[in-house]
Amino acid sequence: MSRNYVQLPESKTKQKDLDFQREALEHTEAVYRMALRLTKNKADAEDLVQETFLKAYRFWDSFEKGSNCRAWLFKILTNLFITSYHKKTKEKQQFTYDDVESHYLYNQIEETGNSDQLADPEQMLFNQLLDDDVKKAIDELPDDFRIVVVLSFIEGFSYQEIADIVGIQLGTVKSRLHRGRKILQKNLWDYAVKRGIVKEKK
Amino acid sequence: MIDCKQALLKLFDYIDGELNPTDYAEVEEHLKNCKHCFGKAEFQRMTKRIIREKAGNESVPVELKNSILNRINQLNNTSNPEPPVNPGGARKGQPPDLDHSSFSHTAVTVLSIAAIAIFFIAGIFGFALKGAAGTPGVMAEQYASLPDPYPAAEIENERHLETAFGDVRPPFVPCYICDRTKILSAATDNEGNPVHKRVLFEINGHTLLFYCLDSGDFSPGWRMKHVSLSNRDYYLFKADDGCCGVFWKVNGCVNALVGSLPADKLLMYAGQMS
Repeated sequence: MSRNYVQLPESKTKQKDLDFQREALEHTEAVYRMALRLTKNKADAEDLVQETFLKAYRFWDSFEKGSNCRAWLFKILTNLFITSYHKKTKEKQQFTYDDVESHYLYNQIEETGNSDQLADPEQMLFNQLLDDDVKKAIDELPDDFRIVVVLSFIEGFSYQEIADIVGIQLGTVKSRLHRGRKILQKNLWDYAVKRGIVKEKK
Repeated sequence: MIDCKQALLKLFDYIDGELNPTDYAEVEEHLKNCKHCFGKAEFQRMTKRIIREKAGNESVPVELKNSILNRINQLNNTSNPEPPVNPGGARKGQPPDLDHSSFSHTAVTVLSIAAIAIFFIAGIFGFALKGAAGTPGVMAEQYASLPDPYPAAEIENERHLETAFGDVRPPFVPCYICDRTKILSAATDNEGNPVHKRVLFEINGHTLLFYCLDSGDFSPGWRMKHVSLSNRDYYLFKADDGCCGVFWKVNGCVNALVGSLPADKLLMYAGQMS
């Protein structure tokens, strides 16, 4: 009896495509998520993702099989962003945020008499913030800080992995993360005030 | 023993899992004994988790993966042009040679890894087999001449359950039904030809009447969307409960892949299969 089933790959030259699809394209969602936070808009994010995978495909032979493919893709993505997109956007005048404390948010909540927010995690202001508020709070971070914050907070990379991805020293990762965290807390607080979730200081 | 100041200094590294065991133990010990610092630690931990949840829930546009695949195919075609398998191309009523896209096969492996039961079933395009539809012998001949793309051993391994569908014979092209999808029935057409045009799927309680694709005859509530990938046309449908299906033509027949998978995943498998 004849069978008209699914075809096998024509030749072993297609093995690359199969490997690439299995190992690299698996991470499309994470790469897109990061691209969106970096570019802040869907059209640019999609372009960036396509460029990333195209470049990854071209250099697939240089990818060390068995190593962390996701980190490798993020390195390509971050590089592409820094070299092509980063320049496009003129950074706004930045504050130093040196006066913002590490535990800004916690202290703000305590000092403004919103301590009930701390007692019950479910009532905590973040749970009442919209997804879009949190995304905007991240998007408002300057590029350098946003990159490390997203890699750490959302993608869960270790400090060393972030250093490798961005191509900076471990100490730089820590200091950017430190400042990024402060600015992020400040931004989140501002959104919480705007939404009326917390009372502002009298 | 470290004090509050020292503990708070190391708190973020502690939460991020970046402390060495000694420092980690010190902070841990302090937090056990200091309610205030413990509160701050819990707060920061929660903050991190919620940011991750709220800012990490982006869904990838369905077309994105296809665009990537298309561009890679373009790249391959321009840098390494391959002669077409069948220079004659497809002719109506006669199955063309199977052409191989860059992303062929592996769907079976992927699906079996996902512990998804694979069954075969198929329908045909009335228009494509016009003239041949009434003469089963002709059809059988046509399909008998097609290459057998699976080694026998692999068929066994992958549980290609042709028996699961009783006496279904070519011109049926395999169709993968997976994950909570069930074949209800396949019927002969009104003339009594051994041409199973009607197939019912039950997907998450929905019953889907699957007919010739060109007629668009699907049960209500299913949205069809046309997607072009590697010069092949695919038709996607998505139910409100997230169940998806993708249909595409092969040699004048219909291939289908239906299941509780995201549309882009299904489409990816479909691309691999066709």
